[in-house]
Amino acid sequence: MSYAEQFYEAFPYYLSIGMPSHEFWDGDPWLVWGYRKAHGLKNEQRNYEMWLQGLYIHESISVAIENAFGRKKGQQPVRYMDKPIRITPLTEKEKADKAEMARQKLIAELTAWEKRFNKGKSTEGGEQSGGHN
Amino acid sequence: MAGSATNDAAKPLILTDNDTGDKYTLEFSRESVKFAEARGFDVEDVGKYPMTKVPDLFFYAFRKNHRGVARERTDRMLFDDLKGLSPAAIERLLALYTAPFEALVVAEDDGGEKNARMTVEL
Repeated sequence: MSYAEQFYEAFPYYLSIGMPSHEFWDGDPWLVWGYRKAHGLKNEQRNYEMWLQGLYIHESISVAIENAFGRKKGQQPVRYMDKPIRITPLTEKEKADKAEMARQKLIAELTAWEKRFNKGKSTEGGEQSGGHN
Repeated sequence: MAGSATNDAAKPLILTDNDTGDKYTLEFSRESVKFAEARGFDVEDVGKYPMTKVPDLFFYAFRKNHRGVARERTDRMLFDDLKGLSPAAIERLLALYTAPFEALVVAEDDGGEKNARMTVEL
């Protein structure tokens, strides 16, 4: 098979992945390598998106089934996630905000625990003092 | 374009006319290889018949970037001005000629080899 015949054989494939005809015939011969690689990346991305969509569908069906068959009387219905699943990394500011929120939450929990502890202590002390009287 | 496949690609051969300052960038596209083959050129003949096939190869190398340069002119450049081509220059032209084909068949380097049964070491 001559080179030209092999070019003609490969040509439709490269057209199908978006390479313009003039680039295939007249451009840098190694451009095809870039197009192939880009096509592979695009396929990977599409595969990931389809997987993510499956995850959302799975989540929504799980929520529906849980609410229809698994929920006890008086129990709040399970809600579908209120935000999309994050797929991009957090920015520095978002990381700092998240850390601050976690810190505030911990402080609130400790404060609540301290209040409960002090309340219990004072009740216990009252009972004790009452007992002495 | 970055990547190991393209890093190994042969660089174009550049001719400079010292009298006029004209520069000629010699390389091949798929179209110029097709053009050469349509005129009966077979790259394997270059080793067998260098006296006739090297001038052919040299002429076809102008087509991609300097389509208007006539055969007579390229022959004059080759025989009178350059007094022939060095083996390294011929080798480079051959590498440039085969590049449009090689680029179609070169293996990807993005981890595909991980699952391959056989590997190649050079």
